[in-house]
Amino acid sequence: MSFLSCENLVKHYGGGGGGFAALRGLSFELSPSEMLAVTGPSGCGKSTLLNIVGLLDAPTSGRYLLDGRDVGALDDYRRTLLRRTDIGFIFQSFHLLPNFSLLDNVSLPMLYAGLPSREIKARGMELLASVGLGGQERKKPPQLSGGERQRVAVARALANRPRLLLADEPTGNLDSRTSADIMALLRGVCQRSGAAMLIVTHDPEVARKADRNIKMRDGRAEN
Amino acid sequence: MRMLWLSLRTGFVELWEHKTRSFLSLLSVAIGAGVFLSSFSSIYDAHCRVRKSLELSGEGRFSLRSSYARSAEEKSVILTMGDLRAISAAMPWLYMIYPIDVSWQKMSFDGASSFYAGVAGITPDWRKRDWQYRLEGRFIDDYDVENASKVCLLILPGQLSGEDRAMRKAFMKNWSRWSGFDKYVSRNTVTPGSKVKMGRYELTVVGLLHEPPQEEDYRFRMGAQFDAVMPITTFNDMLSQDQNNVGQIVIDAGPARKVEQAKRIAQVALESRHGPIKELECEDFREVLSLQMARTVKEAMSTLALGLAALLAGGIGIMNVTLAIVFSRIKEIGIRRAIGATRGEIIMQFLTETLLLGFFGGIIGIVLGYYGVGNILLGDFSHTSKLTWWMPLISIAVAMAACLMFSLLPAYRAARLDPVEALRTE
Ligand SMILES: Nc1ncnc2c1ncn2[C@@H]1O[C@H](COP(=O)(O)OP(=O)(O)OP(=O)(O)O)[C@@H](O)[C@H]1O
Ligand SMILES: [Mg+2]
Repeated sequence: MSFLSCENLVKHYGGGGGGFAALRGLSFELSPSEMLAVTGPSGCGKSTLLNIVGLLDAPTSGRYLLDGRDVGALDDYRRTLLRRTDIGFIFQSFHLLPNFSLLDNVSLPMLYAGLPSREIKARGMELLASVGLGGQERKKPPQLSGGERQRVAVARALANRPRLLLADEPTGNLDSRTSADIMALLRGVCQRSGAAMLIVTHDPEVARKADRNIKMRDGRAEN
Repeated sequence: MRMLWLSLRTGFVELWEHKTRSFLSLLSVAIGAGVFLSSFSSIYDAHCRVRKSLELSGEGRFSLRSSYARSAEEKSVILTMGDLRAISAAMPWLYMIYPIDVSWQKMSFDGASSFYAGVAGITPDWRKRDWQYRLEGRFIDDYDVENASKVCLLILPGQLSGEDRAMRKAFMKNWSRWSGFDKYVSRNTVTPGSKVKMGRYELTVVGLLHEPPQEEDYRFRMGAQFDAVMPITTFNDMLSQDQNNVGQIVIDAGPARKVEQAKRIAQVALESRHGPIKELECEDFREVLSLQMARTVKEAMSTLALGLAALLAGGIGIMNVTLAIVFSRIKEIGIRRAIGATRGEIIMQFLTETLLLGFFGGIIGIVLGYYGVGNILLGDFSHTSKLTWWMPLISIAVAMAACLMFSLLPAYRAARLDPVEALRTE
């Protein structure tokens, strides 16, 4: 049995059965430490898919099983609890909190998860060091380059040792060299932690580095 | 607990990052809390005064008056010391009973300076109520009353507040109490043993009654004011009237509930001596008291309303600002939700932030309130509010409660945001 499986996911925007269908019956599976790339033209529903898999949103219909448990129909509170321990997000525009230090940014998920503060600090430092930002924990995000910010975001996503990493065009705002660095970092992370990873990308280079690809078109998998 | 710490931390960071906004919010809360504090303390002040006044003046007091016939059918009832003794005998439990009669007399010292001043004839029981004097020398005693001793005590006014001083100045010319008597006694040495000439008598001043300073004077001022007291018998002799006459009998029945009973018994006692009395000339202190109370309550309410209005204005300001903050931080809320903040934690975060504002605003408000911003805003300069230790705590609590109340809606809105939508906004 796979770690994550989606069957026939449908997502309508704009109320009830009407409105716009961003997902129209998408199915796929994901095993632990597998890296899956999702590609496709703009507007085909990639981010929508990621939001559902990341438990930020619920599908209109279809099943979403995580560890064999149906999590697609959970309420907001339960989804949040699951999200903060099992899922890490990496966004195209980093989404760091600009007024907080790097250490604080990385610590935030652990604070929400209720870890003891000593452990939070130790692990925060360790995470920053592991993404190559050791010794810069007092800096604030605006002082960093794009690549460095994305490293912080990766560190933050890993904070609660999630089993699923979700990245929405993580290299979209980076040049090709920095992209390659970040991809290498993510690859290493997946291998070491055994986390499964879903990357939405436009970049064929990135897609090529994944274990498997899904091409999407109009809310469906193409192949 | 950790959540609280996290929220506090976020709150501090946010407040620090937006110093101008935080400062203005703090100021609005502080002014609100300051006005509230000073209005609250002035109310408490008034409350204490009323309580002290009640203790001093008693709540079971009434006075009986001689009544004079206005037509042939009516009958005069002239009260005498005999009546007083009869009432006293009928009710040995009375807390206080004394006769009093007042007149205006020309008073002169050393045969030189002379003034018109109020003079009262009384008995030793007089000192059981409204006694706030510092006695220099001795008071009159039963011996003085029995023998109509030629003694008196002078009442020296206490320090006045600025406003009253100005008022007195204005009245000085035509109000005899202030015609110069107090000025004279404060400038010249009048001591126990001095002589004073009143009417056809020369009396020995056996004591001086120093009134307390104005702001410590808690007496409900009732009836005529006077500058000198002497035994009722001496008073009658001096005015060449029957030694036994008394203008009024003042009675204190103790607790207020005993007043009606005391009045009835007094009437019976008087009727047994004067025949049927249709209507007893009687002044009930409780009426004065309830009037005083009603006035105090009314004043308190309007003051409190001002304080609350100030807090309300501050609170609405806070609400407005917090709504704007929520709007400007939609993205941040989305991020926090994505990395695992529950709705409750988002609410907590915003509430904590405004509670911090409330707390520090409240503290600044105490300083403002203490230095009398309330007095300035309420236009009440004469009032010096005394703070007790728990009042600042209450005003902080009220400021925090107001902030909490007015940030509920913004916080709720922030928590209801759809995380996906929040993340999509730029
Ligand atoms: N909240 C929404 N309400 C209505 N329509 C929406 C909403 N969110 C997305 N859509 C629509 O759903 C479709 C899929 O959107 P989605 O963001 O998943 O596309 P995408 O594949 O991520 O595109 P891109 O590569 O440009 O990011 C789009 O046509 C979009 O207009
Ligand atoms: Mg997208």
